[in-house]
Amino acid sequence: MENFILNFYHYIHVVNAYEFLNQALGHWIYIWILPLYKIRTLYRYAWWKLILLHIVNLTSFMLAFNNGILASDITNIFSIQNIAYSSIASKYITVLVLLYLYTTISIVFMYINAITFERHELLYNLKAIWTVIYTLFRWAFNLGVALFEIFSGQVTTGPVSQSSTNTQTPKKPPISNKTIKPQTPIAPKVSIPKKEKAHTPKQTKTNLPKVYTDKGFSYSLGKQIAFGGEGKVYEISSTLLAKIFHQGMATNEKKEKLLKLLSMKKMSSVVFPQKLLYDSNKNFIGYTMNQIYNTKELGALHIPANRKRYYPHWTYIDLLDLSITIANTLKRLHDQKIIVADFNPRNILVKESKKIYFIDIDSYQVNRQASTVGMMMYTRPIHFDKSHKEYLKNQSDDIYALSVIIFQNLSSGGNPYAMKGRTTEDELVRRHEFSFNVSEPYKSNVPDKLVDAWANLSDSLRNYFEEVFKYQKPASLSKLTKALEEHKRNLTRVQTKIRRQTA
Amino acid sequence: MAKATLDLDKPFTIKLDDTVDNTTKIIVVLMLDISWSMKGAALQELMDAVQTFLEALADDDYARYCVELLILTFSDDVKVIHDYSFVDDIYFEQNLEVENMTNMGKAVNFCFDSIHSKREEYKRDGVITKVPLAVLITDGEPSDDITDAVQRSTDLIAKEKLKFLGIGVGDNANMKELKRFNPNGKVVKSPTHDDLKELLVWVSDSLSKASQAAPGEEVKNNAELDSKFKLY
Repeated sequence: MENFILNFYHYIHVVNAYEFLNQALGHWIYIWILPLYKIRTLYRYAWWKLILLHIVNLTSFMLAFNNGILASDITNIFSIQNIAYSSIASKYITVLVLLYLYTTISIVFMYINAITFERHELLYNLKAIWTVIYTLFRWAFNLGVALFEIFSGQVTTGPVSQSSTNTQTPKKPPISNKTIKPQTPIAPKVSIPKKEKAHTPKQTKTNLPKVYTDKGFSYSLGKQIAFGGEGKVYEISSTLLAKIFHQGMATNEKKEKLLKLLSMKKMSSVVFPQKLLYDSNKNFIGYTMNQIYNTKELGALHIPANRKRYYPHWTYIDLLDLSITIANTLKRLHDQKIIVADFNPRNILVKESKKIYFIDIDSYQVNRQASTVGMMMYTRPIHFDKSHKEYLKNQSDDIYALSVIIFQNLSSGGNPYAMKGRTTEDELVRRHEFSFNVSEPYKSNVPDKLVDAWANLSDSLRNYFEEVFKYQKPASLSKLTKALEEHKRNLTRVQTKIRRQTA
Repeated sequence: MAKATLDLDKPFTIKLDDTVDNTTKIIVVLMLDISWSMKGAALQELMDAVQTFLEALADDDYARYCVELLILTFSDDVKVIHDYSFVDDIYFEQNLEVENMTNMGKAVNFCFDSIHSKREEYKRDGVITKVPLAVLITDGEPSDDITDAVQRSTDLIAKEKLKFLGIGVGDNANMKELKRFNPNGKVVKSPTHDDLKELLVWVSDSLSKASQAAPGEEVKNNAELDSKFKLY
C-alpha cells in the first residue's frame, strides 16, 4: 500500500512535471530531462535513439542560430576583433561558439535535473565535467584564433603606432559622435567633412593596435576617449581603460612610480592602475585602469547651472559633504605617503556627494621624483617662480590645493584672490592678495556675488582660509576637516530647528 | 562677532543659490564678413558653420556656461546680431543678407570697443575672466583703412589682453592683411565655407579646454588639429 502511494505520488509529480516541461519548453528539453532520470529504464536498450536525437537536435540548434545570429555578431560578442568574417577561422569559431552554447545549456539542464531529483553524486560529476569541457573549449578557441592569425599573416601585430607622434600615420583616431562620459569634451561632435574622409584609409578592425601585459596577454585598444598632456586614454572593454603615454613620456621613472603604486594598498575612491602595458617590443607604454560610469568632473560642478542639471537635489550640506569626502580621501593618500602633486578639480570625479574618485594617478608623487605637471591656481605662491620639475612637493602643497578646491566648492567656483576692480584670472593669482574680511564679511573689497558665499562660512572656516591664503601658512588637514565637520553639524542643527519651527 | 551659524533670525541659505556663478568666464567675439562676394551658397554655408559652432559650444559642460559670445556681421556697417550672452540664450536666426563693402577696420575697432566695455563691466562686478578671443572670418580683403585697428590689436596682444584668430576663406581672402592683426600668431585658411565647420568645432574645443584650464596651464587640444592651427 505504502509502495503504491509512493508510486502514485511519484507518478503525479514527475509525469506532470514532464508534461509541463514538454509543453512549455518543447521537445528539446524533454530529451534532456527524461533520459537522465529514466535512462536505465526507458532507454536502456535504445541508447542509439538518444544519440540520434541529440544529433538532430544539435543540427537544428545550429541552423536556428546560424539564421538568427550572424557569425559577425558572435565574433563581436566575444570581442574577437581581429576576425575577418568570411574566413574559415571565423566559421570554425562560430561553430565552436554554438557548440559551447549548446553544451552549456545542456549542462545547465543536467544541473536542474540533478537538483530536482536530488542526485547528489551527479552534481559532483557535473562539476568535473564542466571544468573539463570548459578547458577544452578554451583551448579550441585559442587554437582558432591562432589558426586565423597564421593564415592571415597577422602573427606579429605592429607596435602601437598611435603612441608615436613623430611617425605620422595617416590614420585618424576614431571620432565618436556621442559622449557618454563627462571627461570626453574633446571629441568633436560633428563629422569631418567628406572630402577629408576620402583621403584617410578606412580603419579596419584588423588595424586596431594591440598592447600587451607583462605576462603576454594582449588587449586591443578601442576608441580614444580622452586626450591629455601626458597621454591618451583608450577603451579596452566596458570595464577597462588603457592610458597610453605620448612618445617620450613613458619613462623609466614613470614605470617605477607605477610599479610602486601597484604594490600599494588599493582604495575604492582612487582609480589605481591595474596592470602595466607594453608594446610588441616589450617597451613600457602605459597602464590599464578601471572604467567608471555616471560621474561628473568636480570642475564642471563648480558651475551652478551644471550642479542644478546633474544634482538638482543637492543642498549646502551636500557641498560640505563633498568637501569632507575629498579631504578624507586626501588624508588616506597622505597616510600611505602618497602626494597628489597635481591636485585640481578636473582630476576628481563625483558620483555622489559622498562618493568620489581621484583619477590621473600617474602624476602622483610617490618617491623622490618630482611631478612634472601642476596648475598655477592650485600651487602655493611660494613655488610660483620655480618649474614643477625642480622641486618636490610635500603634504602642505597638497593641502593648499585642497583649500582652493574646497573654497571653490563652497563658493560656486569663486577665486580666493578675487576682488573688485580686477578681472584677469592670471593677474589675480599672480598677485595673490586676499581681500576677504574674516570678522565682518560684508565690509571688504570682495565682489558682491562672492561675498554671500563667504559670509555663509563658519568662523573657523573663515579663519582657516585667511591663514592659508592671506598669511600663506602651511595648512593643516585635520584643522580643515574639523572646521568643515563642525560647520556641517551646526547647519544640520539649524536646519532641524527651522523645520521644527515651521512645523 | 555674530555667530551666524546659530542665528535663527538670519538662518543660512541651506538651499543652494543656483543663480550666482563665480566661475571664470571667457569673452568671445565672432566677426562675420557678409560682403557682396558672399552671395549665394557661401552665405548659407557660413550660417551653417556658425550654427555648428554654437551647437558644439552648447554640448560642452564647461564652455556652455563660461563662454560669453558676441556675434557681429560687417559689410557696409557693423551690426550686432547677438549681444554678449551665453550660448544657451542665443538663438541664431539664419537670416543674414549680403551687402557691398568689407569694412574690416571698422568691425575690428568696434569689436575692441565692445570687449573693452565688457571687461570694464566685469571689473566693476569682480567677474573673473580669461584672455578674450576675437575671431574674424572673411573671404576678401578690407575695403577701408585698417591701420588703426591693427595698431590696437598688436598692442592688446602684446599686453596679453587679447587673442586674435583670423580665418580667411577661399582663394580671394587676403591673408597678408589678416596676418597684420596678429603678426606672431597664426592665421588660418579654410578652403571653403563648408570647411569652416570643422575649424569652428576646433575653436569650440579650444574654448572648452581653455574654460577648464586653471591659470598657468598650457592648453593642449587634439594634437592633429593643434598642429594645423594654434590658438590657445
